[in-house]
Amino acid sequence: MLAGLRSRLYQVGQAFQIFASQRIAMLGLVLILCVAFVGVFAPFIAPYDPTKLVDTPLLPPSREYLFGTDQLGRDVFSRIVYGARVSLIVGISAQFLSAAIGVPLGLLAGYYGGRVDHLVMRIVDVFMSFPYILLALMIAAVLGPGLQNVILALGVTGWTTMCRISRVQALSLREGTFVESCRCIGAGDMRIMARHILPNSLAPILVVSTLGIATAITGEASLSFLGMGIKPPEPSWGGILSEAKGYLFQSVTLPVFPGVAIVVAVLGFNLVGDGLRDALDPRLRRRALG
Amino acid sequence: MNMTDYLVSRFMQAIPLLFGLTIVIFVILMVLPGNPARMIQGYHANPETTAYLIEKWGLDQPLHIRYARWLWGVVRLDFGRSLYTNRPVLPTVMSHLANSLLLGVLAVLGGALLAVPIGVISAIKPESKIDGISRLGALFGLSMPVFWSGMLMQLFFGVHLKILPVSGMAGSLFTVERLKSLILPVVAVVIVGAAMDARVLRSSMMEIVNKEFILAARAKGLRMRDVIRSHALPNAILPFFTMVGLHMRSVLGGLVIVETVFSWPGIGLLFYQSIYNRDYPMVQACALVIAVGVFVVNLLVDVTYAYLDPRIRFESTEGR
Repeated sequence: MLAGLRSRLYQVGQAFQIFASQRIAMLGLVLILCVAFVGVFAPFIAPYDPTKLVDTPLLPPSREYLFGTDQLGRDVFSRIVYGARVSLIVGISAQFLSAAIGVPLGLLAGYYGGRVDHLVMRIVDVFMSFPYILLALMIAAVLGPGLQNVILALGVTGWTTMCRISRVQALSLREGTFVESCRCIGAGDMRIMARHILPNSLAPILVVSTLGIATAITGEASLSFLGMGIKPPEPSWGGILSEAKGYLFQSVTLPVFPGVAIVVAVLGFNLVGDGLRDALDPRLRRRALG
Repeated sequence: MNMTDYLVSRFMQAIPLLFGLTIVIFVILMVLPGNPARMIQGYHANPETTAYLIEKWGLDQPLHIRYARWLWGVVRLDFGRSLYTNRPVLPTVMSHLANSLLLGVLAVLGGALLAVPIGVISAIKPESKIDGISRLGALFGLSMPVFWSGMLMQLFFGVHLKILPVSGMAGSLFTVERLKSLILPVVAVVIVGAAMDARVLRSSMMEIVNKEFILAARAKGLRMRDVIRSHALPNAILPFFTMVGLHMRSVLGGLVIVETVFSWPGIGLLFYQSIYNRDYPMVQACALVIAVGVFVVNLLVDVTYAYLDPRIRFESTEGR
């Protein structure tokens, strides 16, 4: 037991070393930590209430208002700071939901094969035959704007990548001798899947999940930009951009900062995902695109 | 298996897929809150008119009956009338589709024209300036939301320099105005895919360039340019092509957002507005057209793939 734990720890340590040796992946980690810090300590960082009007509309950046004020006279800096919270919550929760749907389905499909596999993969095909953001847009329109609804819309549509990756894992692992020996000592299918196949599939699932968070953050921004995401008085990066769209001629800086924030967060998760892939599984060289 | 059989089997596979998708979309739409019969009358909604419209549009019927009706219409290419404009859906969808195709085809061509040279150069000269720029471009292209890059371009070229229209589709086909209004949306779509595609091409080129047959071609005295063009590139283009096919779905998704940013009257903008207006027949028709579009693009990729690589004889279509 202890030896097993030690070898696990050794593996994790080794993976971390490879990860840490990639400068660009570490940069990604720093970016994520920055966004997370800003999101967690938003009330202490933001100088103003993000939903309160503080001054004249559309002021340029100044010492008082770092990023200027928006079309209603709210402080853009405070709104972006609180927006980090929204982005991270949506990104991570939507990805969790996707994993909660996709991973069990994928494991079942890969492990049992045959009819189950066929059925699951046809459902995946249906979802894959349509741009994911459009399906999310429709569901978000059905549910109406709001944090939970955005998470639901993105989670329910984004599970196909998770399903495919865990299916492939189960498909190759079920042939392993360790699965055979489990079956010999009388372990049931569920136990084999949960205790043996899932833990051994965690590395690629983790990689795809990290990249999936990046996709979900972009998804939230897109939905909010299209007016079907976070409810307007609440700050969201995509929402600020959506409002800025109507004032392109009046304010140059308004559309710049929220976009930079999105790029920082998304880039962070993409870089860490790429780095994790190289650290955990060199075979997964090519990027899994959804 | 010959080409015709292959195409027939692909179409047969697509039918249940589209069937499944229309059911998903139908069910999502039916739970959409907001009664179109009332919304269409605006503030002066009259209960009698509402009841009349509900009956006229068959909104009081159970779900499966409505689906069957709609499907029967689709089979006869009758997509119904828009609840919003009361015009037939099909012509509207088709004219918007044409606008989207213009945008999409130009974007794909532009992307390829950009990605292939960049990919090749950065594969031949790794760690060069172009390689570094394309790596950086791929990172940002992947992380930059398309609506933001679109807005920045509007801001710079439209508002600041005033050389290109900020949004909308101007002029008629083959005029300078139309061309000018196309530039920004096309570039916005291209940015998404091109940089990534260049990286994919680079990595598959790098693999090929180290193969022995390239060395042999060089050894028999061919110029590097010819080796690249007739030996390396044809082999490297295959994995590149699969990747481009995979991208297409997200490019089509991005197209919708680009069209909303630039008010480009394409299928994506129509889809978005119809969702907003609760114009059910229009949304369904748009969704079906977009799904067929994804299918056709995938099919084109597969057929071209088989054409480029004679080793593939359409033996199996599984595992794609």
